[in-house]
Amino acid sequence: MRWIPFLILIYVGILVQVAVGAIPVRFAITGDIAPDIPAIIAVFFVLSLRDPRDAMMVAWSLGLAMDLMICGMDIAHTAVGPMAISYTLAASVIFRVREAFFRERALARALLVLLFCLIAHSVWVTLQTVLGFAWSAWWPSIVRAIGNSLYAAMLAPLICIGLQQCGGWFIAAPARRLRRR
Amino acid sequence: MQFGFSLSKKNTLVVMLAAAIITSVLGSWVSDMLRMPAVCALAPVSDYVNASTAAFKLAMVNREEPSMSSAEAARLRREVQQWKSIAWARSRGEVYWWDKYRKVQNTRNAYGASLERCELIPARVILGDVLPYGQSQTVIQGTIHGVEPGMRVVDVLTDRSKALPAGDKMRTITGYSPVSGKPMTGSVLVGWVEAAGRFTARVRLVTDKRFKADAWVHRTINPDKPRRITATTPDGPTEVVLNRSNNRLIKVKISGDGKRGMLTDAIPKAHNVLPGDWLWTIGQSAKLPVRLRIGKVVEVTQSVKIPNFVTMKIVPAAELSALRDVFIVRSLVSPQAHNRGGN
Repeated sequence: MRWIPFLILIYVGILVQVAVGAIPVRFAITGDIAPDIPAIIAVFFVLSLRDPRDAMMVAWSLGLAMDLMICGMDIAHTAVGPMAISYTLAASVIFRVREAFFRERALARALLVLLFCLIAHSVWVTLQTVLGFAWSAWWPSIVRAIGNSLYAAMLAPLICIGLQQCGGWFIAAPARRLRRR
Repeated sequence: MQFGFSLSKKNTLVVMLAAAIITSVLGSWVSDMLRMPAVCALAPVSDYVNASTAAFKLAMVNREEPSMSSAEAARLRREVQQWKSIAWARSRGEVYWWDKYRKVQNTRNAYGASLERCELIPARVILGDVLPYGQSQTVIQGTIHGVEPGMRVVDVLTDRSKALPAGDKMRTITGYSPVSGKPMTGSVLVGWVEAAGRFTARVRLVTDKRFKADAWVHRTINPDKPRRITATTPDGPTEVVLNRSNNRLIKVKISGDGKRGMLTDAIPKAHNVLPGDWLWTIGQSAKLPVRLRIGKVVEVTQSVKIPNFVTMKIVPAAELSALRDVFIVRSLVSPQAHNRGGN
């Protein structure tokens, strides 16, 4: 893992997130929703890295960057840290199930991003509501989290193709599919 | 040298997770301490990103605005002529003092009598919420510029507010912004400062669920469509036509709906509030001792809980999704003086 280029990628990823987060799409059921771009980046790295600890460190870094930028929920305050924890947890789950998928397939990537986002955002929303003692905000936020996850899953194949083109800048030794003996 | 442990990947990951757990538990003061520098690091580039998205949204948003009457149009033409005269006078370059004089006059005109008890700190929105779980914005002004948590944030409308009914008494005096030079007719409340770092501050918008305030409802009078209300007279409640003499303000409690608007508590149906009426700040609080517009009534619905009462849905007067230049209001009224009833 090449960490310096990866830090630059985090910066760029957050800037892209700032842009797409500022132009949310509105649905009657969910309210405003926006894709989680760092989650897509995290899934790409989880699918590409050999070492699960590297994958989790990548997810933690992206989660922390998101934590620092998310100021709001319909509660008094959002703490820094829960998104880092939830991204790490989601990364460990994705790392375990990745062998069951053809990782290069667009549909597989979309499904894995959906799974990642659902885990990460539900855990984040739950942790924030617990820390902020705001149970009433839980259900509306979960509904919004599902919307955000679906949106991210739709964009995932496209962004993963872009990341694959420059994957060598960030990953020294990419993972290979395990072969049956 | 041995430290008793090796910096393996596993240990690093454990330390990282432990740090995340500690910051989560420690809560607000640690979070704000970490967030403010992070926002500063992003600000130089995110400002451009925010400008682009704001411009895009303004181009995409199609807000319904009241049509302009011929009298209003004539008045606007006069104003434009006046500004042209001012511009010509300024272009004569008569000098420094004339320029100074005009700036003072324009500032006073721009904010009218309504903001004379406040100092306005100009600020720029550099960052919105990256995921739409809440309703907040980050502005590039901090404690070093005098910003403190709890201060109210206003936006200065440009040509949009010119479509207000000309007979509206509460309208602020027309002028142009000393900052941008754009014509404007008044300020609107957009939010409050939730947290202030040294160089940046976080602003919660009026559409946030935690926004709760008292407000006045001002019913607009349209001579073409007379409105009947129930007024209390010595003979008891009587139905009369709303006019300037009986158009008293109605006090309501408003709160953000967490989406893109605000809701009010129930008020008697007899007031006959209709879509198109305006909501104003109370103007008597120590934080904002002036009367500013908040939003416009777009929907009046029968209250479910109380018969003969209605609730209202309000849209903010400013386009909150595309905020750029705002003003943070520093009240010059001390809380003690406010409590005594004076300035």
